[in-house]
Amino acid sequence: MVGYVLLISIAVALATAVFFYLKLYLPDDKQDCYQDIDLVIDEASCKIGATGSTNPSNVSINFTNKGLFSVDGVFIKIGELDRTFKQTLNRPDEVLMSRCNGLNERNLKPGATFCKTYDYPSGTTGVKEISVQPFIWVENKAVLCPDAIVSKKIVCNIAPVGIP
Amino acid sequence: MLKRGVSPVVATVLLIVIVVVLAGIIFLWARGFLSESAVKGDRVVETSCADVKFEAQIISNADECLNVAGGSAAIDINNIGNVPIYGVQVLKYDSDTGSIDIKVVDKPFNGGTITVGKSTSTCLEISVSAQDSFRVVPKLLAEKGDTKIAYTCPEKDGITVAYV
Repeated sequence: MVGYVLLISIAVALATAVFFYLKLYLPDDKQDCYQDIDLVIDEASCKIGATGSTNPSNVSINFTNKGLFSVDGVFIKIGELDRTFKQTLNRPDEVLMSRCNGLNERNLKPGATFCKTYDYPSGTTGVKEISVQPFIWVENKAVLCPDAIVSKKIVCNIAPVGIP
Repeated sequence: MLKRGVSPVVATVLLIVIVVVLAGIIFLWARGFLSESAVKGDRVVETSCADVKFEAQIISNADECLNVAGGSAAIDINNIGNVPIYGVQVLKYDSDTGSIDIKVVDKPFNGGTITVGKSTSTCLEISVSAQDSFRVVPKLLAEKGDTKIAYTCPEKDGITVAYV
């Protein structure tokens, strides 16, 4: 009787050990972004405040969700045209509530357009590239959509004095 | 002629002893094996390496590295995947032998881990010339026991970047 108890206990212990070993070594279910997410940058502009002027440097952007799924957030980044490194303009965790069409929802639904102007204090004049990378929330984690990054070339000029 | 086998009691005891010894061996083997693994989250860090997705670019004369001793080259990294990147190891291809033994950089990023969607730039402290080629391997922050370590991913999880 003791033998059976021992054998079963050992079998259970081994099974548990194997379970935790496999859990550690096998990859989790990979969270992927939907295939049909598609953003389009409608318009983007950049104004650099002249030295000594009170006009701040800023970047305005309008983009539309032309895909089939809602987008929960975006990384809006700007940088030199020939550089991979780009500065993030927005707070990616903030909801996409600033809409041109007056709708205030927590995410950007298909067909909705987002418009906002961001401060760009370190901005310099010249040709830049602005990019928008969407993401969705899956189980409280931001899952990027690397295949849905859109970029646009913009020119940063000094804003005329008196015109904000 | 009558042949006598071992009694049921002896057979049971033998079985139990064999199983106990086997379980002990497997336990000792697994304990040494598992304690050597660095983990990230709830799985071994190697599996996270396969999920790292990033863009890299080598810049010969980066503005922010002009005053750096050794050279003004920089590497831009853009994290487009869902795994935070702690640093990079940059290896240079030896044009004579074709091997990638020359270690250029092996450190965490100055501004800390590049979280999902962010980008950064690091001075390489070397000069680069046309046709130089580099292998950029990500480093992840992992845990080994109670301590945090910078784990360098296998070379296969890196990307090759050529400076043109």
